[in-house]
Amino acid sequence: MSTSENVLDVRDLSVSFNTARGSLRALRHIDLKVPQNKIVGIVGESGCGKSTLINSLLRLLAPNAVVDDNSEIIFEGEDVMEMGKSDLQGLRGQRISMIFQDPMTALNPVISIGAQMSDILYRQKLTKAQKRERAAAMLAQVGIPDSVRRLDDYPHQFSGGMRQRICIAMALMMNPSLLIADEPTTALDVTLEAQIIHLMKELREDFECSMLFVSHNLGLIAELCDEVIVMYAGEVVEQGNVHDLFHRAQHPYTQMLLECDPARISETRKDLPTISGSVPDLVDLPQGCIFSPRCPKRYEPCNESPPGTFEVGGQHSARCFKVRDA
Amino acid sequence: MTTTTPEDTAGADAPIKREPRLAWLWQLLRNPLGALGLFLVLLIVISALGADVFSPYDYKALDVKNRLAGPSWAHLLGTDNLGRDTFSRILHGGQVALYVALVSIGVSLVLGLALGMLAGYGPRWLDNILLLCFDSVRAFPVIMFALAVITVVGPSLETIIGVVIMTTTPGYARIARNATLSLKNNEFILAERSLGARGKRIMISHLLPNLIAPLLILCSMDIPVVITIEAGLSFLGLGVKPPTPSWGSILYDGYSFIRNTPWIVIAGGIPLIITTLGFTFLGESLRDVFDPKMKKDR
Amino acid sequence: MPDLLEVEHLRVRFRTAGLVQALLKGLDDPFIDAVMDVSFSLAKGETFGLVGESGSGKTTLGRAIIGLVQAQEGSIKFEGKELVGLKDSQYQEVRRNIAMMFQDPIASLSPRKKVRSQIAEPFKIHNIKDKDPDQEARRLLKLVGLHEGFLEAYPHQLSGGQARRVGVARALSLDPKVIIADEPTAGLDVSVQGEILNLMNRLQRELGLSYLIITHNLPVVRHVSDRLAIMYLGRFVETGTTTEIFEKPAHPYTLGLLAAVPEPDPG
Ligand SMILES: Nc1ncnc2c1ncn2[C@@H]1O[C@H](COP(=O)(O)OP(=O)(O)O)[C@@H](O)[C@H]1O
Ligand code: SF4
Ligand SMILES: [Mg+2]
Repeated sequence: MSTSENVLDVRDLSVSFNTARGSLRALRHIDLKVPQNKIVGIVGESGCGKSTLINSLLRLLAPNAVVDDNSEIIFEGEDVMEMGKSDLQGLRGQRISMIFQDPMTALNPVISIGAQMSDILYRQKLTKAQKRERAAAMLAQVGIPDSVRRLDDYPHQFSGGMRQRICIAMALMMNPSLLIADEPTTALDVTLEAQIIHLMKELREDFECSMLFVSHNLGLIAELCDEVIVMYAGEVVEQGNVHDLFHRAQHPYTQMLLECDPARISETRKDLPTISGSVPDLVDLPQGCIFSPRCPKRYEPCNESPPGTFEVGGQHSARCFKVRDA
Repeated sequence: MTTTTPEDTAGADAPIKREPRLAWLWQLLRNPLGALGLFLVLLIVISALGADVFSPYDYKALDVKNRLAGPSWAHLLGTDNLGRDTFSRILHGGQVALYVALVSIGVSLVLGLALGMLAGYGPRWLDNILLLCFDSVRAFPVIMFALAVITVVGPSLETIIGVVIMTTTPGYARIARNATLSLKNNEFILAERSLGARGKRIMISHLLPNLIAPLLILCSMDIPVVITIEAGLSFLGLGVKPPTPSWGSILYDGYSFIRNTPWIVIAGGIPLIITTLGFTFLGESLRDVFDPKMKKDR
Repeated sequence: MPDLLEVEHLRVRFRTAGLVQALLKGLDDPFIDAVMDVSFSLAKGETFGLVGESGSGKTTLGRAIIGLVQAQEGSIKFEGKELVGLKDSQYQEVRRNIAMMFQDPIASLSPRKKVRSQIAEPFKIHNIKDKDPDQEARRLLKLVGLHEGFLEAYPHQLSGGQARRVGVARALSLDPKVIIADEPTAGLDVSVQGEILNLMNRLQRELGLSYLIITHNLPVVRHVSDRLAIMYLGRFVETGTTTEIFEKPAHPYTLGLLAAVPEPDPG
């Protein structure tokens, strides 16, 4: 696949945070591609670096973050790491938009929805009426009934699911090339979650837009994504298309993660499988494979050096010696 | 296929993400403004506490031959119209300033917290009454209120302290009340109630520790304001009585003799500037360190 | 033998507007029914699951049982004793026997207290002198699978799963007979969800606890509950054993709920 077909191409991204305990190596050698018009899912447990990854894409890292010099983030052919202030402003919210877990944090509680949505279009030479029209049309598209009248309502006058729809509408206002959704349904319950996922599937047909979808919910990833990246403790341990990952997972971590999802266990049982042990301390990493302290398939090479990324076939790869030696 | 065994004790060997005890200090010092603020505040506090030790002269001692002198090795900041050593007077003035500020802000803090928690956690009617009181007191401008009180009871340090307590307490109480209201429905308070905990226990051991940090930061930013009020009133002759030195009365002397020497005004102004900057920088940097919003996303 | 907990025709209403506001707006019924005519019972050692979407009244029902919100009609009997109408001060005894775990594992711990005092807190509240709170804290930590190092940790230093374990330890401190768990796995990673459910299961076997589990997560409730109630707009629309409901859902709302669970298989 050539670069031009990838909206986003992250190469060898490493990020660490300066902390009082020492350098916390939050991301290590991340490679990631988002092809045109595809939805790429990022799965991983909390603390594995999903949010840090997203924040690096937008250059919104906390002040104590240090990005490794080798890191490259190529967005539509431009290196985000080299961008100046004004380029970044054009990037955030215009070429890349975000949808957050908590819709309330993304909406200003004291400004009406219509005004907030028109505000996004501040760069465009449209009359006020035209902007409102665009806003209303967008609200209608994300399934808000009576959209023209509701423009004058404030965020608290909408329910949780409606608010998330509004956030999606706002994110799409600028026609971004990449939409990033960070756990967009975690705060919602199943029925609303299902509706939002359905909406995203529909929108994907209507807007030519690629998406990075972050979640720890395997069911959602399976339902929505074309390609999946599995992260563990700051590394991409496996990536491939959604079928490869769910049916032919190679990395022991991915396999175990799939096994312990209560939703995938079809017979009713009181003892559920778990992954024993716990995530390593990112300030003091194990010498060999990052998963080795918990890995049931660990063998000699695993404790000596960290494994590289080995191809399973096609676009499917995993960071595990077993794959090399298979 | 891997066989993941059923188990429930993964936490047993999990590390605790523990920060070193003084991590906040480290964070504060990493910020240049924070480090500067802390340095200036320490400078003021130490020089005030050690005024008796550091003063080269008795601040009351007259030296009539050496009146209105400029800086020299004998008198680092010169002398005033009575020949008193300005440097020694500044150091002792610092004592007065800090005394007024710490006592009044300290008392306001305690009162404000107590009243604020009562208003926020107590019954609705109590909240309404207390709010009415807070807001009516807050409606008076501090200086006007001070002038009115001083005309009635006469000028003294204690009057200034009383006035400051009266005027700052409602502000703190209001903040404590609002914070209490928003904490009150947090899950951890409900959890305490579900265990059977009652009002007093909840307020003292669960609300208080969460209110104190933001208020202390506010206090540190209010200290220079109080010091300025004291200086202002003393400048107008409504504060400390001579010969007790105050930065305000030193400034007043300075203005009266500004044609003879500018040094007294300069010497009286500098500590005010240092104090204001020091406490403000410190307060703002502390707020950055403790701001819950910045911590939330970790 | 009567059941441990019996709830009958329970109704909880909240005021939506003050007196003056209601008059001004001409509302003749300024109330909203959060829980309407709900009846169920919980036997010793049983797990009852309460499923519904947010706003359906599950949390309110749980809180009404432990007296954090007031019920207007109906009855709640614990070991035969009526709880509706008790004053807050009379609830002390009930709260020793029925413990509640709140939804957010970290936010339900007092943020500036160490784990040690979080767990010892109930002994202080109830003025229990015949047990050494420190010893008890160690014993309870061990019971929930945490090592003693955690005694000195603050809530923000814990992961979601660890905080949840502390919550369980604290709920167990007074030897309750019933634990009401509001979304015990919400916000936890899949692998940790299993651990917590296994832990709760083991404790139930060892201590003979009864659970009322409140959740919107159907896959989870399936593995832990003996019986289920599906709640919608304050009412129970369906009750039955877990197998019955999963295999032969009768109410259309239950069907919809089951259909909404994302299929963790790309096909
Ligand atoms: N500003 C920061 N300072 C220090 N550590 C941080 C900071 N932000 C994140 N981390 C750490 O980096 C790691 C990855 O965090 P994060 O990206 O938030 O994970 P996720 O979004 O997958 O839950 C965690 O160990 C977290 O504690
Ligand atoms: S490299 Fe070794 S330890 Fe790491 S995941 Fe593969 S088998 Fe397990
Ligand atoms: Mg995150």
